[in-house]
Formats: sequence, structure tokens, C-alpha cells
Amino acid sequence: MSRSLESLIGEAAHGRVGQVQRAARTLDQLAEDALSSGRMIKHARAAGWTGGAAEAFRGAVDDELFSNLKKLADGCRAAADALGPYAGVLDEVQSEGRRLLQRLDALDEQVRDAEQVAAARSAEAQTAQSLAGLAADSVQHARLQESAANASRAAGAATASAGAARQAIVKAEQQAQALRERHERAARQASQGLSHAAHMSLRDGRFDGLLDFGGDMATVGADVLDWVGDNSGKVAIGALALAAGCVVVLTAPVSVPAAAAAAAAATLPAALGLAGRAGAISAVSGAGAAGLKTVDPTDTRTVDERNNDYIKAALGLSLAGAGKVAGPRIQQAAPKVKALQPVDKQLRRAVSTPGKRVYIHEPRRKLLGDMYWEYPSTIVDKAGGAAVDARPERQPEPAKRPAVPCRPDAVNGLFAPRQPTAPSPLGPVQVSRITLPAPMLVDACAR
Amino acid sequence: MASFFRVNPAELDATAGVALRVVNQLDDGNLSSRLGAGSLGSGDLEDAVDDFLGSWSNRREKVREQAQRLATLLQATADAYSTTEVNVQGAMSAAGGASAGGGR
Repeated sequence: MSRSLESLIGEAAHGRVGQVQRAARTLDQLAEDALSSGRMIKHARAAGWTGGAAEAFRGAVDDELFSNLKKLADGCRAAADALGPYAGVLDEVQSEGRRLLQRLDALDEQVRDAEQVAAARSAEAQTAQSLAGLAADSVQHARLQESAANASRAAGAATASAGAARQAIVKAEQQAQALRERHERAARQASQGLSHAAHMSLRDGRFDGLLDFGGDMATVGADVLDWVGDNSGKVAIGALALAAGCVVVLTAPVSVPAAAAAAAAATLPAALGLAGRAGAISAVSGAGAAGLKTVDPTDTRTVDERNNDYIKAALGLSLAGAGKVAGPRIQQAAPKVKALQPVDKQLRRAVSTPGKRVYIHEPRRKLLGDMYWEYPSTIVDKAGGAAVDARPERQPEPAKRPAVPCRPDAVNGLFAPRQPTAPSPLGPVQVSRITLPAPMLVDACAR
Repeated sequence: MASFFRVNPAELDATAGVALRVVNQLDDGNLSSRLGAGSLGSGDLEDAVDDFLGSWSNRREKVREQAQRLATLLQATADAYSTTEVNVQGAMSAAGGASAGGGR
């Protein structure tokens, strides 16, 4: 049987122990350097350098740098701590696997040899037995009988030897299985450690991307409105939850009696614009909540399981959020959507107001490209760390963001097939069919 | 202008050096390649490393920018102090030489 190290210990065979150790050292060194540079800059700022220029330097150094360096160091140290033990296990598994491979090769050879010997001795015994029957005298007969018996015993011994070697092979294969499991456990532990280190970035982090998120949503909202403007009548309404990385497509034939033309013309685009934002905010909150749960180091889900949970949460809540406004009674749902606006405003205020911080997940680009983002919804006060009441509150409008140019061509491609229709009389919006299974949407609409 | 100042240009230079090392280590390409993509011996672990890098990307980039700015500032400051020291030292030597020469 042809064996390889991979057949014995699985993907551990492809690991490079030196590379894993180097990765751990790199992270450890980075942590050390981040702390050292923080200490040295602090020293230069605090005592090592005095005078007017030193004062100017002190003003130029943001305290946030030290906090970031410390957090980065902690995260890197945690990641290094996860990789270090794994490197040790990988080394042992590979070494033991190589020893097992050599042993199994030897055992295979032993089985082959013993089987050959057994076959040869067995044939020899048969030949001697046959010749004994033809022996000319009793002496020759006895000698041949003895030879046949000896050969038969040797064949039996060789067969037993082959059997013992086969049993040893089974045992060695069980050991290989144990090695594979040991490696899998170590890899899982290291992955969990790294995930923990990854989530350390979420703790108390200022989120710089929320404004970008707002910009993205403004672009999407503008594009959707533009597209809807070009396709008034019977349209397929796409509620695009871009920030959550989920595209939810609802097919919504809209009947448009002339009676409510003016009112619907005014409310439909507005409702659709809100729909995108509401869906995104809901998805963002849900994905964030799901994501924050994984900060728990005892979380035993694999990376894939966790990411699937994120997607489910984002998709489900996106459907729910979009469903509230783009569902069967889109016009009636508009007030609910409007209720979300203050939350949106509060999020924007939080990131534009010095002294407030927002917990936020970093972009997870490997999921659905750059579209998939996770945002938790908890806002904390910088000074006390206490949660800010996320309920809507009456505060002055924040400054409006600059207008984002519409790109109808880009948006049209998202909703195939495009069905340009003639202008129709407007009326109550009725969603007749939802193309995606959305149990959460049903729940949300029922509420 | 402050009437008194104390500075150790070598210390500022060393601080800039460490900050630059952090900048270099935080470079995306450098970090990814040194974290051993494709050679960890576990697909899940590779994913976890990607996850780790992705999660820290914003803060890493921010620290990198801040450290780069500080390193540049510190290096320029150390250079300026050192240059001034050399210039003043040179001027003093010249003045001392001229004074000594004038005395002959």
C-alpha cells in the first residue's frame, strides 16, 4: 500500500512549523514594539524632553495613540499566545507522523515478505507431500514427509508473522487517527484564540467607518430612488441592504390607481429611501449583536459557523427591517420607519461628536467581498463607559452630508430583468410576492 | 521661547526608530506574509488568521499612520537639535580659534 504523510495526519502534513513559529514571533515582536514605542514616546513627552518644542510635541501627540498601541499589543500578544502552542503540537504531530509512516512502511514490507515466505513454504510443503507419495522406499518417503512438515510449519509461522504485522498496522493507523484528532483539536483551539484576539479589536474601539457607511447608504438610497423614479408603475423593488452585505430582493407589483397619484408619488420614493436605511440599520444591529456574542472566549463555534450566524442575523434582520416598510402595507409602515430615523441620527451624532465612542465591528472583507460589514448598536460614553440610551431623542439635526451623485446605471444592473414601464396611475402599494424565504420578515410584519 | 530646555536627540532618534519598526511591521503585505498564509497546516486556522488581520485592519492602519507621523516628527526634531548642536559647536570652535589666532 502506498502511504503518504498526508494520508496519515491529514492537512497537518502541509503545515510548516518554522513558519507558524515565525508568525507567533512576529506577533509577539509587534506587541513588544508597540508597547516599547508607546513607553518611549510617553517618556519623551513626559520627562525626557523639555522646553518649547517639547510642549509643541506634547500637543501633537494624541492620547488615542497610546490606547491604540496598547490594544494592538494586547491583540497581537493574544494571537501569538494562540499560535505558539499550536506550533508545538504541529511539530510533534508531524514528527510522530513521520515515525509512524516509516513504521508502517516497514510493516507493509514485513507483511509482503511474510506472505511471500508463507506462499513459498506452502508450495514447498505441497511439493514434498506429492513427492513423498512417489517415493521409491520408506526412507525417502519419511524424509520427504518430514520436509513437507517442516515447510508447512514454516509457512504457518510466516502467516502468523504477516498477521502480527497486519495487527501492528491497524494499531499504527489508530495512532495516526489519534494524531489527526490531536492536530484538529490544537488547530481549533488556536483558531478560537485568534478569533478571541480578533474580537479584542472591537472592545472600546472608535469606529471610523460609520461615516463611510452613511456615505454608502446615501449613495445606495440615491441610486435606488433614481431607479424607482425611472420605473414608476409596476416595478420590482430592490431593498438593498448594502452595509450588511445582504441584497434582499422583493418583487412588488404596484397597482397605481389615479386617485392617490399625488400622495403616492410623494411617499413611495421616500418610503423606499427609508426602507434601505431601515433595513440596513436593522441588519447592522442584528449582525453586530450576533458578532458581539462571539467576544465570549468560551464560544466554541468554528469560524465558518460564526460567519454563517452573522450572515443569517444580517439577512434575517435585513429582511425584517426592509419588510416593515416594503411589505404589504408600505405606506402604513412608513411611520414605523420614521421612528428609526432618530436612531440613525443618534449614530451619526455619536461619531461626529467628540467624546463619544461607538462599538463597531471591523469590515470582514472575505465575506461577500467588501459588501459585508458588521456593526453593533451599542454606543458608549467615553468618560464613564456607560451605555447611552439608544432611544430616539429630540436633538437638533446634524449637518447634512454633501449630496451624493446618483448612478442609475449601476443600480439598474442589480435588478434584472429590467422592465421599463409606461407611467401608470398611482395608488396604494401592494406587495404581492416575496421572492426570498423570510420567516423573520413574517415575524416582523406580524408585530 | 522657553528660557530652558533639555533634550536628548539620541533618545528621540531611538524612539523614532522603534516607531518606524512598528510602522514597518504593521504594513499589510509584510504582516500577511509573515503570518504564514498557506503554511499553517489548517484551513480553519488560516481563516482565523485572515479574520484576525481583517478585524484589526482599521486600528492597525490608524496606528501605522500615527506612528509614521510621530516617527517623522521625532526624527526631524532630533536632526534639527543635532544640527544646531554641531553648528553651534562649530561656531564656538571657530570663534575660539579666531580668538586664539588674534592673540598671537
